[in-house]
Amino acid sequence: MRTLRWLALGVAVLVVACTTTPQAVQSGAPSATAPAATPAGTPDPRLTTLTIGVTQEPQSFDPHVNNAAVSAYRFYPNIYESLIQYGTDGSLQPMLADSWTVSSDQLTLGFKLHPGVKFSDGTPFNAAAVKSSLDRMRAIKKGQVDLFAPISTVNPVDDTTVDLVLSQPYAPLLAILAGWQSAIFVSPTAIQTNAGTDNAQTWLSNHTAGTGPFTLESWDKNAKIVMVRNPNYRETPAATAIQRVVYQFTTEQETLRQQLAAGDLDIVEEISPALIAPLKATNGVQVNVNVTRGASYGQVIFMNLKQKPFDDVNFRRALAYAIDYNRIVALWNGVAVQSQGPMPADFKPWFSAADAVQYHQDLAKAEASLKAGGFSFPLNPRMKMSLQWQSTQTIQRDMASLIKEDLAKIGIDIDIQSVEIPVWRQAIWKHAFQLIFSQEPMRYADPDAFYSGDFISTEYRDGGFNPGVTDPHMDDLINGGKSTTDQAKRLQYYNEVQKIVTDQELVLWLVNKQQAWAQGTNVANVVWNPAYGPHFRANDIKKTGLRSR
Amino acid sequence: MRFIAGRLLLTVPVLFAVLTISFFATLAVPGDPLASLLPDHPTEEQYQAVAQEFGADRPIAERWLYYVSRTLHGDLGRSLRTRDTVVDDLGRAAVATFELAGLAFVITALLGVTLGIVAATQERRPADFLLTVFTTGGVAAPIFWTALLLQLVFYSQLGWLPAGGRIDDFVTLAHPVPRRTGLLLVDSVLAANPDALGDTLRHLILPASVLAYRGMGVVTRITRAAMLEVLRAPYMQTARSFGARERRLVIVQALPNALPPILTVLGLAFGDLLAGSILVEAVFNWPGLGLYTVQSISALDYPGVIGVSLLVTFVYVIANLAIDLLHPLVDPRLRSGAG
Repeated sequence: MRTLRWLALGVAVLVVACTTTPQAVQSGAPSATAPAATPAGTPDPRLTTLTIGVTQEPQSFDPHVNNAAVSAYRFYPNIYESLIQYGTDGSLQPMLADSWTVSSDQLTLGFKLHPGVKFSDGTPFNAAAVKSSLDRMRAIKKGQVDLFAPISTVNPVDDTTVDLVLSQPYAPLLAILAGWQSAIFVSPTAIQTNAGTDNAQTWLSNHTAGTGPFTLESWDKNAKIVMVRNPNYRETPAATAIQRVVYQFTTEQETLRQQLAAGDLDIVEEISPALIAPLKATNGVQVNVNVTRGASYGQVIFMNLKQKPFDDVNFRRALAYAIDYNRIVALWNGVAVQSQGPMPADFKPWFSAADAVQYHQDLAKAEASLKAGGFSFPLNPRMKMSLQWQSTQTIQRDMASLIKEDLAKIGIDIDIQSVEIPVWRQAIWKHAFQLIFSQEPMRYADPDAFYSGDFISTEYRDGGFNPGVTDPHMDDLINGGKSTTDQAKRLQYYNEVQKIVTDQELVLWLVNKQQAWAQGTNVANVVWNPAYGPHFRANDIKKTGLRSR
Repeated sequence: MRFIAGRLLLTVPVLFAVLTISFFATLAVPGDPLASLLPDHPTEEQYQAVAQEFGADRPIAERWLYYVSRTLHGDLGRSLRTRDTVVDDLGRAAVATFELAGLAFVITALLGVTLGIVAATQERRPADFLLTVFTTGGVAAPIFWTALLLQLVFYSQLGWLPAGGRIDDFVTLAHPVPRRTGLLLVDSVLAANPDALGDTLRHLILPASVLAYRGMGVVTRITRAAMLEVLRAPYMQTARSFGARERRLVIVQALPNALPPILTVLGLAFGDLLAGSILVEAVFNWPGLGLYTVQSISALDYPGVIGVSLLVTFVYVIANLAIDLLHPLVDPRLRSGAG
């Protein structure tokens, strides 16, 4: 019995140790209205620190090396800037360039740069800096360099004027220059000073020297990334503005939910559909669902078009008619809509409802399609097929289970397989799949982005994403749209492409996802720009108070 | 001494085998390790640039020889995922895991043995029964389930302990803790920073307890069994008949004689801690080896996977060597043979 008493005492000591911890560590501040007192005039650091929960770390802070859209969306917008940007209405707006002109032969783009801009290390941002960054990217040949291939020379005219000279007309270029791929301007001095043996790639992987309002202070791998104010930024922030941005790395969605609810996180930039309802019911938390075309992840299934039976349009249509899209949409808890082909329906003026063929579950039509292709209905003997999903996307597994049930009805037995991302990439690159899930982001806000990657015959290669479309007529249309800036002509080309890809069901288009994210109610002024992926410009954001537990 | 040297020498072929097996295993897995560094639609040019950076454009045999020779020079290459040197990556992650697993090991050993003794002396009484339930729970409950449950109770519901991480951002913002050893407990003492020390401890409590719980269950059961066997031995009866006090008897007479099997189990529990850290670190965002392993595997980052395999093998071998060296200290029968 005496031992039991000792045990009880030990437990009691532990409990007391847990509860009697320093106040400053424990609770932040007692309420939203009374921030803790700090020395003369400086606001509570908790009020000027924006803490964002993220599930993935960036690849690198070198914008010339990085090729992950998510890295760029999440981590770059506070640090790097582009020449031009999209306004929230989708129009092109100045950023580092005040104005721009396109020559009549479509071969020269001239930019007038904003005067007086400096990089965070004090180096002036000028025409030479534009050239230096573009040239470095093309020398390293990594990242998003392929998008800039038609630029033959970068020509600094004077300190604040720079011309991009093209080898051929390239219609998507302005869209690309306003996209995340073009927030690439890094101080040439910093690159020179830290060149090392690899043109500063090692240094830039965890250091920055951009023109944006923040600069990278530290990256504690697998724990957190801290950004602080850029001392050379062109505007002076108010003392109450966000001074630090902390990206806290958390692998578990459930942990993210708890931390947001407790007020330890201000923003969770992406929440899984399962967490929407619990978070909506949480005090002090606001759940947002926004359209993001920049990362409008179309969830699709690629079919290996060069393989039987997927080479037969009748078979593909039968699959498309067999799937119950309503059940799939329901799985997403209201953050997704059924796709009508590759383009989001609100992508104006390019999306054409008249040309987008929409499939619905209709077993009679599935039967007719199969019979038109000379198959029996249901298939006899039954067919076995593998369907691979990306192991990081558990919702694909859930969609796969539904699709398996649907396809069983027409005589197809699906073997659902999980694959890690590198394995998934290689399966597509090497055309080693039957059915495989993919998320298709809009790389840049131009219809070219939806077609030149997946449907042009030169991309049917080892390393390409084309599932087997090798049609000279499609090539003509896609290349035609890329190389003319005549809006009416482009529209005509792309409407026809849209009609072919949807009518032929070259891909099983499932849903277009919106972005579900959550914030504390004490976070104000978040500007959501549908042209980009989830990005939080801390320069605009304010914290109106602290949340208590 | 010859025994120690022999055992240390034995680690060389073990490490070599682990290196070779993990090198070829990562290659045998389908998928291109470079894929995680490339965009969805890489051009041939982009592919070659990355392949060259990591030497993946050379034949496999050459890469393996290069890898072995580099490893002998203490260079484990660069991680495909983080682009840092694997040695740096492992150094950072290892201290974090060492701090966590170290504390968990102390809890496992002290609490496990203590509870085992209690259970043995209270055999078939309520305390023994309660401890059986408690320790069986440790072995039976999935570690991530325990972790999530404790996180939900102590962080979300009660608000007593942090959700995860090693130290609160605002604690280090107010009083920075300069990195000296990487062990935050040590660094905050060196920086004479009681806030940081307290906060580090608070961050350690949950993950260390969860990690310790499983191993503790095993240690408690084994200690109980070993103690019961000794306590029933005839010489104990004799000692009792001489009127020795029961507590003194348990601690001074019985425990030392029960130690050999307990030590062996502690050595094995150490290996369990390393394995368990994979799940615990994921739940508690502990930036250690476990998290690093998971990420390296999902990215097919073979330099990272091999590096972590080598390190864990080495630590495991050394830990068990240490346990073996402790055996003669607790078991006189083993002393005569050892040099």
